[in-house]
Amino acid sequence: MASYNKFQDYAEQLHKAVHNWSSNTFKAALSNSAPSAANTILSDITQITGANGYSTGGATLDSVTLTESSGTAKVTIADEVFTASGGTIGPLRYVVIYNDTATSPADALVCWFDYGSSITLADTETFTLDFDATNGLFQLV
Amino acid sequence: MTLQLPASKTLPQSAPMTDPTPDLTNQLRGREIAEVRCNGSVVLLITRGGGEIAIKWVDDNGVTLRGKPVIGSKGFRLACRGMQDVIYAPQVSGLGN
Repeated sequence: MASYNKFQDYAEQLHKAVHNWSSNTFKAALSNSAPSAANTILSDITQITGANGYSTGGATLDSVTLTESSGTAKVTIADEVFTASGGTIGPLRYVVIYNDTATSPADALVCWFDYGSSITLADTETFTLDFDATNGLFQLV
Repeated sequence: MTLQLPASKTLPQSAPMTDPTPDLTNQLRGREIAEVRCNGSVVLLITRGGGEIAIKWVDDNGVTLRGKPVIGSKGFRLACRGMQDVIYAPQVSGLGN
């Protein structure tokens, strides 16, 4: 299971109200170059070529839900599926989550996941982001 | 006339994936599939070295269902583990406080 890797700037931007998990649009972008924890915005990330089912900027995450219980906030997200259509997607290895609504800084980064090796989706193959339904994307205690 | 399957026979494509028989995972762990065969009710996985594992689908009564295997989808899955972050509180002197 891929571990959550936090972009350092996220901790600051979260407390500057840059991120609103109840109303903002969050996206998942794909990359084959290792992100740095010091990266802050999407333009710091080298995305894979947008083609064959992958649009530059990534896919919008659905059913982003913020809940709070006994002082613990939790964000859950529905699984996201990329499907290669008309050709290959990749190679890719990293999934970067960012805030597409944020304007200052624009497209502020949240976190990334590492598949562990580079993969290429053949035509019709899928790449599923299987988000943790129980623990959510993250919890803030 | 439209034939409608009862609700219990429909396949929830978005349902969470689980291992219905944990032993099946153990049986296949580390093995390399050399060949796949089927006969209409059984899918036979033949591993390199000659091992065989027959998989069939049964209904709630244990009766074998007939059919043929088709590829619903193929690809990769990234299990994204959630993170628990803690706001540092100076007054907290230890776990559980």
